[in-house]
This record gives sequence, structure tokens and C-alpha cells, in this order.
Amino acid sequence: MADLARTDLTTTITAPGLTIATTTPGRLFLASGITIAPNTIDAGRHWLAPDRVLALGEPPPAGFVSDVTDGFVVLDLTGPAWPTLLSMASTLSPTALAEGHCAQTVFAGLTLLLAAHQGGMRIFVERPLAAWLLDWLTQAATSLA
Amino acid sequence: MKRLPGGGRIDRTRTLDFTWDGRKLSGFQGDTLASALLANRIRIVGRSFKYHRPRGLYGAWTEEPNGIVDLAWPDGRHDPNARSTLVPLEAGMAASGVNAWPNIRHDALGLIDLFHRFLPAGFYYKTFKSPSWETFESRIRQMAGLGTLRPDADLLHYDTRHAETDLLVVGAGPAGLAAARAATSAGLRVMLADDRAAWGGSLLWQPHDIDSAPATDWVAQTLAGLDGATLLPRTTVFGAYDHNAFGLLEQRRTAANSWAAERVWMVRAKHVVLATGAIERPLVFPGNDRPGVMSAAAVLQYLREYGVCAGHEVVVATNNDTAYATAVALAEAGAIVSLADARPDPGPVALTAQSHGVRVRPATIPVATGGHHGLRWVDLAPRSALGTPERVRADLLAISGGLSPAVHLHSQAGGKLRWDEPLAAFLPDAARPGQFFAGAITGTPSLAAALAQGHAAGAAAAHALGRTVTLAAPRTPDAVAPTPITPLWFVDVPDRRQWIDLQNDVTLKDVALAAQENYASVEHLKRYTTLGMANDQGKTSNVNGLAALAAFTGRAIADVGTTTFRPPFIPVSLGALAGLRHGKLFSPVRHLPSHADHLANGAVMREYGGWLRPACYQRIGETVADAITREAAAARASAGLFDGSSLGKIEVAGPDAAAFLNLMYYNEVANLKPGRIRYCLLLRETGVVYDDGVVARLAPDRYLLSPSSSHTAGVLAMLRAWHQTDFPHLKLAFHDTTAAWATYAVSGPRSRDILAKLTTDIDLSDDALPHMAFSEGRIEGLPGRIARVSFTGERSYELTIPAAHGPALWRHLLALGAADDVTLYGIESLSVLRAEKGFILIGTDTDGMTLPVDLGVTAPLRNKHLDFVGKRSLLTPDALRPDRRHFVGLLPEDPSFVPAVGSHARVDGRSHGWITSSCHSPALGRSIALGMIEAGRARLGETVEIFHLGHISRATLTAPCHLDPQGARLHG
Amino acid sequence: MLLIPCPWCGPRDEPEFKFAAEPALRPTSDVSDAVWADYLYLRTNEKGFHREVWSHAGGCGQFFLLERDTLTHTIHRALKPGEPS
Repeated sequence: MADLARTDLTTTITAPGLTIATTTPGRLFLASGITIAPNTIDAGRHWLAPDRVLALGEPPPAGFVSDVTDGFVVLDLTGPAWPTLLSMASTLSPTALAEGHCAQTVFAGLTLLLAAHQGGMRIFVERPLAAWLLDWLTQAATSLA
Repeated sequence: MKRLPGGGRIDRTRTLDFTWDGRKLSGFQGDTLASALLANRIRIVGRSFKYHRPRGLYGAWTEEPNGIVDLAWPDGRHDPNARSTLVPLEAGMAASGVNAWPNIRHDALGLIDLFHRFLPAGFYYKTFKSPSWETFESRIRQMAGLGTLRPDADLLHYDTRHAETDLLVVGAGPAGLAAARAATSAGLRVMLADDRAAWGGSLLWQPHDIDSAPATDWVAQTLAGLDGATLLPRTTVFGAYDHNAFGLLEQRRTAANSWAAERVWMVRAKHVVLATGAIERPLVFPGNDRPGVMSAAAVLQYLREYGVCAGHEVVVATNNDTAYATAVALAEAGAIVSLADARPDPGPVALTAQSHGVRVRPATIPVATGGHHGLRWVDLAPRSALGTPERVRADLLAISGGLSPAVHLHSQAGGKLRWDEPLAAFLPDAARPGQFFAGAITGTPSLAAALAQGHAAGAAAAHALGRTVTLAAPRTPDAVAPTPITPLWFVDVPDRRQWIDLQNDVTLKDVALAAQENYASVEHLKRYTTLGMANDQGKTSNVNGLAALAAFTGRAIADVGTTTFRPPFIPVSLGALAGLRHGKLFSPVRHLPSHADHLANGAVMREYGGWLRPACYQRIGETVADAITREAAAARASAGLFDGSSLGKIEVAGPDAAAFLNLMYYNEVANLKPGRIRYCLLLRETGVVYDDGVVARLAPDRYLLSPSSSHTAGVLAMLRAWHQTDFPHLKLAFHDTTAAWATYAVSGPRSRDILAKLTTDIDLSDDALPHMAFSEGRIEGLPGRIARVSFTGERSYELTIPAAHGPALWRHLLALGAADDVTLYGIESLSVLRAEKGFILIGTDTDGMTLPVDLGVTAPLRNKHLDFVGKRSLLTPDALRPDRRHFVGLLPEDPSFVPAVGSHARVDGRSHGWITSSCHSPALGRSIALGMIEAGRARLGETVEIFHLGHISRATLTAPCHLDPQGARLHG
Repeated sequence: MLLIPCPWCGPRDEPEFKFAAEPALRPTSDVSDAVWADYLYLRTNEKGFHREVWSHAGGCGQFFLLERDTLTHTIHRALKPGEPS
């Protein structure tokens, strides 16, 4: 049997007060039939729609579940300048990403999921768009230097 | 004209050298290019747009119509339309005049002015018509315009910020500062923007006392006390949009360490205070465009801001009080000043002026000017006796026709204006929601009123957000009440060459012509004469123009009204609006999981439907066309490997999944067995084919839809729309898993041999895995699917595994297939292969009118009795017409000729349709085509003319499938 | 640049949304060609108070009904499908 190893994008971008790093926080599942409060994160489940979540970690035990682990590249933004970067990319206010909250929005022209994470911000971008988004983030970081 | 030895807010210790039309000149830090030119006695800064008349500086800031120059900076940046009054002087700048040949001082094209009678407004509708406008157009276009673009790339960076705030204060003059002060004291989040580098607005140029201290101290203290406010100097609020959204342009070029030269802010404000001030109007009279005729307010600014005295023998002409401050300031600077006031009784201001040595002539107006290449004299006449002028020597005529409140942002937001007769000004009518006004924008000229209004506005915004302001309003001693303005819209003499719009060269004569030709609406006046359409957007011309129109059409100014105000208030460069989103970052593009491998394999990548995909894999020594032919031939001779990872993969699950999808699709899908795949069409409600793709049934309540790559998002949105708005009671859900999987197609006679070398638990026998079926299992240990689906007409297998493992599988398949001559093939050769088989490409062979019947797919309409989207539209008379265009094949008579896509199929001189796809077919060794031809299916074998841009050839209509119509190769 | 209140995500800027349709009851398949054509192509195009379906395409993807004044852009409310209006 051939060893078909993974190819994953790993990179770190830095600017004064900001670090952007790829991360692999665990497996990801789209799960329908689950209802949580809009735009919140509940035990790793991120609200996407009234009856759909993106579950991080363990797949929900029942219902319509699709493994989309390979479908996303996850980026963590840390440092006091992350709200400034958000203000470059989106009209979403940083207050929408208070602890325990997430939001789907237009970010640098892409529709994607943002989530609060350890005082900073986490981006879930679909894998095919990750390279382009990282180009944008690199340019944005340069502008902050 | 001269630079005064002292005064102004420039730094005389820092000299900046620059050039003007090749001459070496110098100015000081703090100058604009305009003030430096004035200080160097440059009278002519340009040639007018249409008549090439010499023009000098008129204004000092954004209102300036004439001072547009070509400007190059030492760092390589270039602006062909730099506005000299706004550009800070920098060392090493090279500026020159535009719109003249050979130069602006001696412009040969100035002869045009002699023919001005043949060039009135709208001349291009009336002259230059024989033999045709096109004969003259290119030459006129060459002469038109201001400045020349250089083709170099823009060297500057631009960035963007989005922000929210409680209160946006536009303008940091006394009114704006008072508003910001009040609001921040109540704890509001405030953004304060002013287009100047220095704060204070009108307080910068006139001495005042506020709260018993000099105004400059009050400004500094106020700013220091604005807790938490975002201060934005050099920032123009250029646009007001819905729901208190605003566009701001921040100039950052001279800010320390700024990466971006300009920054666009989009701000959503709960409230806004418009403290934007007022713009001075010119007086309109014969000869009012001569260099040396300047705005009185601008002359004061040049004096107080830049230490430049714009004239020595000065006439000030006015119809209101505000110009008197200029007269007094000029007299204090040593100029000889006389003042002509159109009003018979100017009041207290005249006495003050006279005490400073200014000679005041009441009830007197200017009626002519003279002087070659600049002002030398002014004719002043009593208003009641225009025929008896007195000639006064002057090198500067400072004029003031009144103040027009800067209501632009209010109007852009949909606010209405009302004409105030006593003030002779358009004032904002009712405030829009969340909007407050303060200062000169309300028509009030006094500082005391501006401070009070600003404070009240800030307090009102605070109150609306549930806070209270306890701070007292700033106080200043009351001023004497001004003497009212006397409107003087133009001089009523036969000579109507009185300029209204300096930048677009529109005169009173043109307004009269428009009125005479019944362009009575102010919107028509604007378009017919181009008044107000230049890049100063009529800041000094709109009101004078519509007032003249009112006079010529016998109406009140209030009845004429203004044209619609639109953003931007000043020109905003496209680069600034783009921010980071230019070049590669202009538009997001998707990469395939194996992107790097494709590049390594020599792929020519092109964008298809938002995805970067291999068009072909070009080898050394071959052209793209060679590569396409080679790949297509190899895919039929041995085996081809294709990256199909961009195909959509939408999982649909739920007890009502089958019923819902049957409602959505043209084809029957509810009877599709688990493990089977069906090619289906998705229609719009109009019956038009929107997408084709395959539907796979995974389980009784679970499907996998594969829309075409460019339509995945659209199909998902369509499904969600129908579900949520029309069929919410049906229980099902959709998961877009497109990005999670990589899919590769192995296609061709040797495909089975290659697959046999894979380690998989999936039974690959034709019994277990027939064409249009799939199986799930493990591929080299990974969860995945193998489907037998073919877009080439060859035996094909599509392998799907998790996307992160895609690149490794791709390389593995290449290695496995090496012994079987596997060839990588891209989109272009796939397009050839499917064309040989007569398979449609949505959007290429179909358009916004194509129905399933046109494609020959009629069984579902006959047999599917359940309702589906678009069904009713397939039963209309238009859908049932026998002469509808049908999808057919065409074989050109000349087998080496590939007709252009879009060529018409002509019969008896009439087009019967067109060619939608065409190529050289390696399998047939000749050219083939596909097209949409009227009643085509009934005309197979008929010969038609192929017509394209005058070239005529012939072709025969055939069935679309040119190769292996029985489909034997699918099982080969 | 409207500020549109998505019933789930709250107020967001207009570029996150897509206008979908005027709400219309889908006729049954036995209607005349004229009635069907009206449903497909005719819009009420109200001057003033207007009901319209939008989707939060650049956000949660949900469809909802918006009550908007076409003259003033005042937005009255946004309703989830099925919410009584």
C-alpha cells in the first residue's frame, strides 16, 4: 500500500503586535440538525445556520454529519493588533468576536467563518482559497509594519 | 504679488527647491505648490479647457478650478492632474502647466479663443458635422482633456480601514471642535475629521477670543481634551451613504513611517455633525476669468496661512460683508486697497475698512477687466449707471459673491435643501436621521453662533445615546450683526462672456443659450453646458449658474433648485478605493489541491470560473495548440489523468431529500438507486438550463450533487432559496463539501489497467462498478469513492479522497500509469474530447434562452409527472415553437478550417443560428463544430453557409456526437 | 451602503447581502400563460414601503424578508421565513 502522506499549508506571518499562524486544531465536521444560539461557540460547535454547526474535535454522535477536516485551513491571529487587521479586511466590528462568539462575514472579499479564540481571532478559510488569503494577509501585515 | 517677510504659518527656516515649467523656484515648508507659485509671482498656471485662455490661481483649497498641473515627485510618482492648492510643497518636485502647446505662457492653441462664437455649449451637436463628426473627432479628442497620463505603474501603496463610531464630526473649525468637545465630555466615541493638516478651520486666519483666550489656545486645549477620540487630520469626508455610512480619504503621504500614501476609511456612525463650513462664490462680470481675479477668502488664506500677498494695487469687489476682512488684512500687509461694494449702504464694516486706509465705493460693481497675461486694470461702475465706468489700476481683483454652505454630504444622503432669500444661499432643510448641523453650513456667519450650534449638536448626539453633557458651551464676544447681502448674479450688459464655470469654460452666454433652447431644467443645464461637471464639481459655479438660469427663464431660484449631489466631494483615486485589492489580490482565485504539482509539470494555468486550472501541460518545444492535440490524442490512445477537484460536491440528506431534489431537477432523481449516478439538468423557473452535472445517490435519504465548478455556490444558493422560502416544511439539509475532497479522473482504454494496480477494497469489476455507478471504500488506506463517470467518452474512473492527500495520490497515479503511457491532460483538451462526443458545456453551447428541448433532452418533460422548477415554462407557446434552435453538430466542408465560435449559419441570406464550439479533432483528423441552429434536428445533412466577419465557407449539419455514437468506448 | 438587520446575525453592511426576489406565491401549474408570465417577470416595484426577500450570502446564507422603503431606504424590519408579518 502506498503511503499517501498529507500536504498541508503551514506558515507564519508577523507584523508589529500581530502573529498569524496556521494551526491544526482538530477534525472538522459539518453537522445539521443541531441548534445553538446564533453566532456562538458551544463546546467546539460553531454556529453556521439555525440548524447547522461546524463542529471542531469530535463528530456529533447523530444526525447528518460530513467530515470536512481537509476542507479548511485554520489560521490563528494573536496580538493586540488583530482588531486593526480585522478593520482592514471587514466591516465586522471586533466586538462581534467577544469570547464565545463567531461570525460568518466577508473578509478581504471572501465569505468565511471568524471565531473568537483565546483573546485573539481564528479564521476558517476553505482550503482552495487559503493561498490567496495568505497572500492578502502577507500584504496586510506589510502595511502594518 | 510677493512673499511677506513675516507672517503666515509656514516654516521660513526650511527652503524647498522645485521647478515650474523647467524654471528653478523655491518655497518653504508649509507651502502648497499653489502658494509657492504665487510667492514666486507666477500669474499663469494653466490654459482653460475649451478656449485655451490663460488662467491664474483663483482659490486656495478644494474650490480651486484653475490650478491643475502636471506634477512629478522625486521618488518617481506622477500626477497629470495634481491640484496645486492641495499638494504640499516637497523638495525636488517638478511641476508644469497642462493643456497648452508649446507651453502655457505662449499657447498656440490660444487661437481657438478667436473662434469662440463657433464653440458655444453643445457645439458638437451643431458643428463639425460634415462630412461626419468622426472626421474631426480624433483631432478634437487629442486637443481635449487636461494633462497626459504616463503608462508607468502606480508606485504608491493604499490601504483601508473600516470603523464604527458614536459620532462622526466632519470639520474641525470652531463648530466641529465644539461638537467634538461636548460629545467626548459625555463619553461618546468620537471621530473628528478635517481636510487640513492643522486644526481650527476658519480660526486659523482671523484672530478671535474664545473662553477669554486666543482662539489658537482654545483649539489646542480642546484637542488635548478629546478623550479617546480618533483624530483624522488631512482627511476629507468624500461621501455620505445610506444609514450614516461615510467614505473618508486620509492623506498619509507626509505622515511618519506610513506605508500607505492614502487610506480610505468606511465609517458607520450612529450620528454625524456636519460642520463643513461654506464655500465662497465668485461674482460674475465681463473679464472675470483674467489671471489676477481671485476669491477674496482665498486671498486672505494666502496671506494668513502662507504669508503671500497676492497683489499690491488691489480692488476688492463684493456684495456682502465677508470680503472686508480680506481688504483690511491686505491693507495691513501694505497693499493699496480700494473696495467696490454692490450694496448702497455697507454699514459698520465699511467704517472699519476705511479706518485701515481702504477706499470704499458703495453701490459699485466691476464691469470689465484688462491686461495681457494678467490683470492690469478694472472698470468699476455704479450699479445704476453701468455705462459710465471708472478705470482703476490693479494687479489683484479679490471678489466675493457670497457664501454657499457646503451641504454636499447632507444632499448625498438624500437631504433636501431650501433657498433662503435673505441669505441668498441654499441651506439644509430638515436633517436626515442621525444628522446635525453646526456653523457656516447653517448660513450663520458668526463665531458665537458656530460655537453654540456645535456644542448643541454634540449634546444632542449624546442625548440621543442616553448621555448628558454638563460642560458649558464655549463663549466668544458677540459680533456686530452683518449687513445683508445684495444678490448680484451677473452684470446685465450685452457682453455675456462672463465666466460661470472656469474649469469647463462655461459662460453666461452658454446658460442663456441653454435657456433659449428650452433646456430649462437645472439637470439639463448641467449636461448641455457641462457646467459643474469638471473635477471641481461646480463648487464655485453651480449656484451662479442656476441663478442665471432662473433669471433667463423668469423663475425664482427656489423653483430652479440644484442638481443632485453625488459622491465623491473631491476626486478620489481608484488606487485608494482599491486599497490592497489590486493586481493578484484584485479577485480571489481558488487553487486545486495539486496546484504545486501542476506547476511542476509545466501546466499553463488559466482561470476558469474562479479556479486556477491547467489549460494544458505544455512541453518544451511545443505550442499550446500542439499540447492540446497531443493530450487529447493520448487520452483516447492510452490513458489520461485529469484533475477534477474543482467539481462541486454538495451532500444533501434528510427524509425529504429525494422529494425535494425531484422538485429541483428536470430529471427524475427519486428513483435513482443507491450506488448509481445520473446526468441531470437544473433549470431556472423560466425553464432555462442553469446547470448540468451528475447526481449520485448514496443512500435512500442521502445524495451527492456535482454541479459544475463555476456554479457550485449558485446551485447551493438556489437549493437553499427554494427550501427556505417555498418548501420549508420539507426535512433535509445541504453540506457543501467541495473543498474537502480531491477528485482525479483516469480516462482511456488503459484506465482499467492503471486502476488495477491501486490498493483498494473497492471491487472494480464492470459488474460491481458499471458505467454511471460508484462505490465507497478505501483507496491506499484512505476513505474515498471511485465512480465511473465520463466526460471524454472513454472508459473513465473518478477517484475521490480527502483533499490533503490529493497531491500524493496524484503522484501515485502518475507513477502507476507510467507503464501505460498515462498523459496529463487539461481543460482545453478535455473541451476537445467532449466536443468530439457532442457533450454540451453550459454557458458555451447554451445561453440565457436555452431550454432542455433545444438540447434534445425531452424525456423528463414527457415522463416526469411531478412538479419541478421550470416545468410550467416548458409548456408555453414559445417553448413549444417548432422553429426553436436545436443543438447540432457541424462538419466544415474544408476539414482543415476551424470556424470561429459565433460564426453565423446563413441560409438564404438570413442567420439560422450560430456556432457555439469548434476545434480540430485529433480523433477524426479534421475540424468539427457544434452549434445552435433553427429546427436543426430536422435538418441533419443540410449544408449551410458559415459567415464570420465577411468570410464565407460551408458546413454540413450533423448529430452533435461526432465519435462513437453508440458509446462503445465507455466500456472498452 | 445599507445597514441590513439579518434576523440571526444582527445589523451587517449591505455588501454581505444579496437581493433575492419580491415575495411571490408560486402559482400552481394549471395557470394560464399570462399568469405564469406575470409571476416570472412582473414586479410590483413599489414606490415607498416594499417587501423583498434578501439572503445573507456573505454571512449565514439564510433567506429572510426585509421591509424597506424604496424612497428613503428606511428599513422597518427583517422577518424570518414563516414569521407572521
